[in-house]
Parts: sequence; C-alpha cells; structure tokens
Amino acid sequence: MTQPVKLEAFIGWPPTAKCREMLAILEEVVQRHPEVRLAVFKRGVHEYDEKPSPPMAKLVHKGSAVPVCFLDGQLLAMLRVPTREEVEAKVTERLGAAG
Amino acid sequence: MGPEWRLLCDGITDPHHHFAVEEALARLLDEGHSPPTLRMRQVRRAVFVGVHQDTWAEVDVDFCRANDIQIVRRANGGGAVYHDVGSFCYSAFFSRALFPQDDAELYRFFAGPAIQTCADYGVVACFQGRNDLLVRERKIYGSAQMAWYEAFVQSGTFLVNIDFEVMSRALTPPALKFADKPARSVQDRVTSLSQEVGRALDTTAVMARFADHAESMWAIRLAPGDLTAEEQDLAHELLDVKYGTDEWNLGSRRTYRLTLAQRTEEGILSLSADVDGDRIDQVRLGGDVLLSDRNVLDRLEKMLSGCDRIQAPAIVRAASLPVSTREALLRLLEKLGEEAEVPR
Repeated sequence: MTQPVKLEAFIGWPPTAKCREMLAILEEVVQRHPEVRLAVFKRGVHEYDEKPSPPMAKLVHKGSAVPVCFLDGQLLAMLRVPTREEVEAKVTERLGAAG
Repeated sequence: MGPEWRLLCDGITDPHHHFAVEEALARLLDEGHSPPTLRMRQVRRAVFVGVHQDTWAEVDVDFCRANDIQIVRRANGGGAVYHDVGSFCYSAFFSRALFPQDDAELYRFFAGPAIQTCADYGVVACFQGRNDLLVRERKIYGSAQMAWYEAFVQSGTFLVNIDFEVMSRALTPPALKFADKPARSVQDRVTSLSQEVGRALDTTAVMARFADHAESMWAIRLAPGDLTAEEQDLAHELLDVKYGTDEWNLGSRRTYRLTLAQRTEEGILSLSADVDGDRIDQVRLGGDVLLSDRNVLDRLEKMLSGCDRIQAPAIVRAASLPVSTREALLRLLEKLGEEAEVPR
C-alpha cells in the first residue's frame, strides 16, 4: 500500500492571482492522485487545522518568502508558481518511491 | 547615473492604511504594474508588530487602546517597534534581480544611508547582528525583508525623536529577549538620533539626508512621484480585508489546555495547564508519582498557576522535590513551551 504523500503550499493572504494559480495546479494534481494530500498555509495566519512539516513550520513562523511549495518536506518551488508538469513529475516520482 | 526609482512620500500617517499601501506596492511591483520605489513615511503613534509575532505577548494592548496608540501587524518579519511622527521608516521596493548581493548582504547595503545620516550628525552607528544599527550598544535602526514572488521589499525604521516612556509602556517583549543582552528593558536597549546629539531634530530634514545618501549609495536616481490609482485601490481593498481588522492585527489569544506526561524514578508525572499566550493557568500535577510529601505538588500547583511560562522553571528549581521529579517537571514545562509555539 502506498504511503500518503503531502503537498504543502505557503501563500499570501489574501491570495494573489499567482497564489490562486499555484493552488489550482496543486489541487488538480491532488485530484488525480488520491494518495496525495494538500495543506495550505497563509502568511501571517498562524492558526491551522493541520500541523506543518518542520521546514514549513520554520517558514510559517520565521520565513520572509512567498510563495513556497513543499512535497513531503522537500522544497518543490520557491518565489514562483511551479508548472503543472513539474508538480506532476515530482509527485509521481515521490509516489513511486513511497510505494 | 543609475536606474530611476520613484521617490514616494505619500503623507499617509494612518498606520493601518500605511501598511496596506506597503503590501499593495509589493504585489503590484511583482505584477509589473509598479516601478522600483523608495517610500519614505512617518506615521501617527503606533506599534508595528512583526508578521510572525503574537501581538498579545509583545504589546500592552490595553495601554495602547487607552492611549490611542494604533496596533498594526506588518507584512514583514522582525520584532515589534513603537513608532510616532518623530521617527521615520523607509521601504525600498525592487525586483530581486536588480541586486546581486545575498539577503544578508542586502541588510548591510541598505543600512548604509542610515549610517551615513548618523555620521552627518557626528554619531557613529555600527551594524550589529543580522539587521540592526547600534549606537553605543543601543539600537537606533532596525530592518526587515520580504520576498514576494519577483518583488523584494527592504524596510527600515530610523529613530530620530521618540517618546521612550510611551515606547516602554506600549511594548512588553518577553524577558527571554533580553536574556543574552546587557540591557534589561526596551528603554535600555534603544536610542534615537536626537538623544545622541542632545537636542530635538527636524525629522523631515533627517529624512531628506537619508534619501540623498540612498541615491548615491544605492546608485539610483530618485524621481518624486505619487501613488497610482491602481495602487490606491488595492491599498483600500487590503485595508478593508486585512490591515484594518482586529483579526489580522491582534489575532486571537491562544488559549487551550494541554496535558503532558513524563516518566520519573518515582513514577509517571503529568502536567495539565491552560495556556493563554505566555501565561499558564489552572495547573494540575498528577500521575502515579509517589512522593513522601504530596503537599509539595499541591503548593507547586498554586505557585505555577497564573505565572509566566518563562518564570515557571525557576519556581520548580526552588521547590523541594526529588531530583528525578524536578528534572521531569522541568522537561514537561519545556515541552509545554514547545507546544505553545505550534499553531493551534
């Protein structure tokens, strides 16, 4: 059985057009892969339903960059919107490794 | 001659509106709708809280409310600062690609005009740590950065004239912040240019000197300009949904009950407490720990209830407990502190 894989996004609040674009890409990938979960964190909003991974927690509490995207605690993209293909490739690779 | 930047002195003194403009400029610069800009500003009495800080722990909210001191959470990091029209801030908005230096070097680079401005008044300011300027071990300037997609914002606060008494009442930084510093209070740790030269200074004249030095030291050419209609509209929108709201500026007090346990030579010791920001309350010590004198734990519960998390270890160390139980309790308090840092 494959292990759950976690995508984390750190965006501005209220979200910009680029933040929304990034979320749309990540949500699309999650819809294709039920084993993948997406957690969204907003800069300056410190109340979350879910505990962030250690690198995301550091960013949420001390970071100065928006946006950032992590895949299982590994940096996927920073200060830019990742492409759909890039996210899909990384997630597929990760699912293969996790399975 | 370097690239042209807009010099923006928009005269907005309302602190909430002021920060809404700051974020609007960052967003629109990223989208290519705003030019590189140096914004110089003074605001009415206010406390600016860093984006990652707990307002309730850093600020005497009741004092500020009673004295018409606005509280606003910035978009960037760093510590809480008290500010009034006697001092000024600047923000430089630019594309990160414009400067080859890394972020740490940029802090030093952008502090240059402040150092030179101090020198104009015969005051020697030295860069200290990551982002501060000190005069005789006291802070006169602090700075922060924010990277927003392709935009970068470097901001600094320069204390020219400041009401130190109000500042020390408005800010309530945790004692831990001073643990490794000779200063023991906000007032011991900060100074102003007027205090250093021994007379009141015209803040706008100091600002003008700063801008002159910025132009030469950053190798840019400043051209006075105004906020565009698009920048004003976005700033008003951000003011409505973010910077003008208590939800953003004050957040909510973090109140919750935690129970943690630790094994000791005398058995398992548990600690339950209500956590309200830095304060712990309704402490209950339990578990199956066997002590010859249970009254010690009862007394400790009373002493720990209502105390600050930072003071609690000293109370435990002074209590008459077996070493193993004392160490376990100290570890539980440490865990309580770690848990308190995690968002609820």
